[in-house]
Amino acid sequence: MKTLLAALRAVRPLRLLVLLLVSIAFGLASDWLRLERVVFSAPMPKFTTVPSRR
Amino acid sequence: MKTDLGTLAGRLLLGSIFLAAGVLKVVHPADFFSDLLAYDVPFPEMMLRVVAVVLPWLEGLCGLCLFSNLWPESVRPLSVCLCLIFVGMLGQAVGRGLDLNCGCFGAAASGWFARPAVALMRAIILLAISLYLARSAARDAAKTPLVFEN
Repeated sequence: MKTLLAALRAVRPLRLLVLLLVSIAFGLASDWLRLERVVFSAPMPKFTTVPSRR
Repeated sequence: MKTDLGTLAGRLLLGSIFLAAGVLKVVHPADFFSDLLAYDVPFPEMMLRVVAVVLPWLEGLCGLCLFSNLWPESVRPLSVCLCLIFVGMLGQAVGRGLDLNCGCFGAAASGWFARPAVALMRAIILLAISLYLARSAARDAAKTPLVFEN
């Protein structure tokens, strides 16, 4: 238990933050670039107006 | 410096499993998200969506760092935390008798391998390995003489 507490105390928060931020950045960027999005809503379909036939 | 064979083996095993699990989930985050929904946990859906997208990358990075022994003093406790979360999630699924696909390896795992009870046993073994690695990292840190950085 003492060794585990020592392991926790040895953690460098900045390095953990880097790992977390990199995963968030890569995760969100890959989701944005994907067709089948999970976080971001899918882009709206493109609407075009068609002249009515007479 | 003497290399501990147990630590090396544990590092390579845990690193490769984390890396494989991360990469397989990165490919199909939508499948992982539907697997997460099946756990029926009382978290907001948006949070689960973010977890489905970010967790695979974090797992993959953690696996890479374990494999290459980069930042061991920070990555090994992180792997303990990840394994604790996996054990907690799978434990509640087994306790409630949920019949689901664990989602540990994305769509690549199915059948008996993805059963919650089997996945829980796997997660407990991974937790034991990560605890061993965290302990050895702390022991190494204690042996290392203090170096004052500018």
